[in-house]
Amino acid sequence: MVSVTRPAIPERLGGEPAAHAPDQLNATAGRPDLARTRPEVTRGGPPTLRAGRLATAFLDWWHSSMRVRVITITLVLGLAFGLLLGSLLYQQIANGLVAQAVDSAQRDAAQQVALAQEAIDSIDRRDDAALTVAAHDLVLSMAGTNAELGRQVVLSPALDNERGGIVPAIAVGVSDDAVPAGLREALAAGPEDQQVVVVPVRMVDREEPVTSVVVGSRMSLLRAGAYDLVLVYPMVREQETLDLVRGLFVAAGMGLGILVGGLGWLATRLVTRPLERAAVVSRQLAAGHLDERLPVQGSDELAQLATSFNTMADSIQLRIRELRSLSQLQQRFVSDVSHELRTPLTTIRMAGEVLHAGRDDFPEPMARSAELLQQELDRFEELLTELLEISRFDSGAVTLERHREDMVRVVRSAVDGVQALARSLGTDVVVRLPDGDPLPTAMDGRRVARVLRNLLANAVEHGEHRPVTVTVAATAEAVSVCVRDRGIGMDEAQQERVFDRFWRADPSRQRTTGGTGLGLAIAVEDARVHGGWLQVSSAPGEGSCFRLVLPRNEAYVIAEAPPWRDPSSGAPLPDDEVPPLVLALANRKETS
Amino acid sequence: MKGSGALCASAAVAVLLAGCSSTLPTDPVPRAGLPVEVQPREDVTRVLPAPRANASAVDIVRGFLRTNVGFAEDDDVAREYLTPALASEWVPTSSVLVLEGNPVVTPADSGRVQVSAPISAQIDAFGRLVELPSGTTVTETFELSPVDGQWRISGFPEGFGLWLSRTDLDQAFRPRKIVYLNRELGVFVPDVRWLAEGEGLPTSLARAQLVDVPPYLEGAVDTGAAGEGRLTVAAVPVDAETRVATVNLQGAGLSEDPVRVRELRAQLSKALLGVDGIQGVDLRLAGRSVDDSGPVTTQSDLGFRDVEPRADRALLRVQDTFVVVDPHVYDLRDVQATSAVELPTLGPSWTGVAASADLQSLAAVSVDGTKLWRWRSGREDVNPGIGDELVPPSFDPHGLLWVAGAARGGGAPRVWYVDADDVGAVARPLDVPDLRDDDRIRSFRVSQDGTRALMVVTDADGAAGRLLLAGIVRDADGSPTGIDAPIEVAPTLTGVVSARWATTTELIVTARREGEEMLGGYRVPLGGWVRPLGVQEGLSEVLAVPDGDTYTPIARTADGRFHTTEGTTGWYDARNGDELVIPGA
Repeated sequence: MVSVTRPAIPERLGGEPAAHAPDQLNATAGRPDLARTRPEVTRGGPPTLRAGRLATAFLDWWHSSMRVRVITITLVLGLAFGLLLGSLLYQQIANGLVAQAVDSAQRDAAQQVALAQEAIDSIDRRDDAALTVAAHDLVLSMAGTNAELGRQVVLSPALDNERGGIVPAIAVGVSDDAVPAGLREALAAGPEDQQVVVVPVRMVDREEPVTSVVVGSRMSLLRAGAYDLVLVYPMVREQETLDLVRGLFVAAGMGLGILVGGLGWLATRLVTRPLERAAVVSRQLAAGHLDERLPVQGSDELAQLATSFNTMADSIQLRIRELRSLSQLQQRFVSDVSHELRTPLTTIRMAGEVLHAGRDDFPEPMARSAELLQQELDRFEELLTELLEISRFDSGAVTLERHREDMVRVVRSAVDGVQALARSLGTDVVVRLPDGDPLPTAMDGRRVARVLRNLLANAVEHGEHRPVTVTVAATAEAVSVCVRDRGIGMDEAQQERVFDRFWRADPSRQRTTGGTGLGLAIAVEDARVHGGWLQVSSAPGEGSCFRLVLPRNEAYVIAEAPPWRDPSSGAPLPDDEVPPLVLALANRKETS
Repeated sequence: MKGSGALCASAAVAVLLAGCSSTLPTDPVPRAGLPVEVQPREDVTRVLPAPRANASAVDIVRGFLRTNVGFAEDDDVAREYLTPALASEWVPTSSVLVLEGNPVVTPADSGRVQVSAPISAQIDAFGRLVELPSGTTVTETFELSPVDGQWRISGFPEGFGLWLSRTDLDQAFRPRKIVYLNRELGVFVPDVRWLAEGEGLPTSLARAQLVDVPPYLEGAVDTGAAGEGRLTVAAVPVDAETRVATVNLQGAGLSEDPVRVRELRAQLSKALLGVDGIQGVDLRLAGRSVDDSGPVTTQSDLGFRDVEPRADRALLRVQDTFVVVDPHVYDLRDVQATSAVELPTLGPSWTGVAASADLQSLAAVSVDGTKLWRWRSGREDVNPGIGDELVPPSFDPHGLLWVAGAARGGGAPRVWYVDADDVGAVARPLDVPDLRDDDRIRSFRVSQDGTRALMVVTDADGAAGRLLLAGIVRDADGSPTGIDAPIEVAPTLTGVVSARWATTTELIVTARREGEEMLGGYRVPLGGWVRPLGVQEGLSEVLAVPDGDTYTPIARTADGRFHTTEGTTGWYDARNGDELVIPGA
């Protein structure tokens, strides 16, 4: 079953700007600027639900502003690029510092080893004590005073020393075992070259190991044979430099982030401000302020956009003025024609009544013509009346006279009004009312009764002699009246047009009630001016159901179209229940 | 595409992670660096025999003494004759005996070997060579112990260092000059040390330069090495390419004393630049060079100068007159251009004439040794009250006149010094330590650098003349305050009658050797071997005419003739005269 709803509040394109017609708003219940009263959303819930809500919130936030997206994307990409570039540079700097330190250490070690070998060769005493003292003095003279100030030294017998280590191992600044075993093995394998490693070395005067360049060289001590002279170059200053660079990079990264964010904000501001201005102007245009235009500055793309926009607005304004003029002309024409026709119609009716009253004196064909004249005059008058009513709606001159009336009584009265027709067509009209007290409702009873009569007449006429059910349901805030027939029903296209003026489901169909084709159009307008909705639900072969939903209090309007199905279960709502509603406060007082 | 994207993302993450690391990258795998350009020096090496297997104890000791000369070689074969413990302690240069013949090695009781050898000289721990009287022998015992079944020397005699033949000594040792300072005159005072040749020579030289002044010069010479200054490393390396010797010193307060640093720089540079192969000296204090402009490469800008005495003219006394002669000419001919020099006449009762370098002052003693005659620029004076047995006076570069003799009150002989510029000045006495009362000073002459006194001391009857050397202690104003305890020079010379300074490091001595009847002239390098001049019949004294760092000997014979050298050992009969006075000597 297809359910089609049509908003009961029409667009007022071509009408007067809402902000400029506060008086008219007293009589017309257009889509209001409302403070809505929605059901309270329960917070919390399962984690998946919470995550889903967070994701939804994030998406809402993400899609809420182009500026947010641009700044975020620019910031993220800028920071990612900056981080990657910074990391690469940081690595290059670290590697460069180490390479420089290694190069410097190698050259210094070569010089130191040459000097040490010369010094050892220059020793004038060769007893063990003298050799040991000389080696000790030599190592001391080569060593810096601490890890910050220079090299540390280890002199130890080579792995392949065959003379028993006449001079014991001597270490200054580091322990003897700080020399990596692999370095000593490499020295044994290749004594003709320095052997270099870069490893953390634990210094005597420091708790934490210091990354150092360790350069091992082979030298020869008089009588003592081959010795490994290992020079340790702590890279304290290099580490400090690297720390400084890292700090600068972090600061630069933060600055870059701020800069990128700022640039993104500035760039988007340059772009979005005109867009926002365009959006504001668009909204104002949509709201009817057709004289609003975008300022044009310079000759850039935005200026071109503004110019195009203004050109478009000019074109639309011109077109709207033309349409408005035409519409007003048409409305005035209809109104004028209706009024102008009333006077001759009165004369014609009076003449027609004279003829109708004397029809018995006329020959049969003439008498029959007199009767037909009378009937068509009735229809003509009714048509004029409805045309006038429609023209009042169009011109916004409708005055709603609300009183607190019993809806049940209005319904019963309307049903009673179509009983004669129903009986003539053999159709039963079943009325289902809620139990209990009357249903006082703030409404214009005359208009509501007209709506109900129209709905009942249509149901009886199109009910294929099957029963017509009228169901009334109410809550404290609203009342609904469903008129359901079991006739041929309507397809979707027909439902789309059922409320159009002068539209008929089957033009060839015999007109039992002699309707003008304006009844449902007027009914929709009547529902709208009450802040309510008139909806239809139908399917071919299954009949139709027209539902009138009105607020019971003039302080509220029904903001959104009431659903035909339960939002949670999807099941069709029964006629004897008021559908879930979104009520909004009516912010305009109505004259009553 | 997915794979490459994941690869790029992984690479980016790896870069980020590596980039975020707060520590320096490491490389624990050893890799070859620069070549180690330490090449052994190509020195001449002696091939000395190592101990033979199953050699006897006597062979071990004999082989050890034979290989002593190789103590400075890299392989040091001599230590292979020692037990490991002794080899690790042996300091060869602590004492050197110079053998005059082959040692006689005889087995003593078990594990002991006795060695007896004639010796001609000894080098003490200071490096001074002292000749020993002929016939001196040494007999010592070496202890041996078996090591792995082989005899090895396990114990040296007391104070053993090296036993070398004269030939081995000449190969292994050289006399080297170290220098002290005379601050007042701004001159170097050289002293000779015998140091081992080889790569350790610069170190030995620097070490000798830095030790304290020997006692016989204490207070007489100045040195920047006084105090706690020492080599930072017991080595003075010489760069193989630049030939620059680096002396790295350290010592408390050394760097805060620029005067000491200047003197050390001068002394070390002077000493080391005298070594063949050293072209520069880089003095460093705690590793920092004291010369911003680079190593010292010349001896001309050290702040001190060498004393190079020259005598372009001499006074020949003939009876009571003086004639100016050229001492460098073989016939001692007169110098014509000296007519402007005003000289006094001196009667025959005066002898031992001395003249100042500018010939403005003359001095002499009476023949009986009781009076001192002085003349300066025409003014004459006689001082009769100094003492008895006065010896010929001598001038020193400090402007003092020195004379020695016996105090009239008795006791040990004395020396007096008088202001050379004032003929009436009072003579001030100084005692000479270690002289006995019956000793007599026969000659007292001050070195050209003004720091040392050369004395000929005999017993009371004039016999057994000895040659003594002592420093003249002076106060800060340069005034003498005492004489250091003298050391004996050239003890192989007995019966010394005369000694004069030829240069600052060499003496010319008139003496006779033990067992010889005739007097002879001898060149006596301080700390070196005595070399005889040619024999001259009737020799009474040999003089030296200085000419920079060389000199010309002139002999005077008892017949009143002066003889100049002819060839290497011959004499030329030059001229008659009573005295030849070398100015400034």
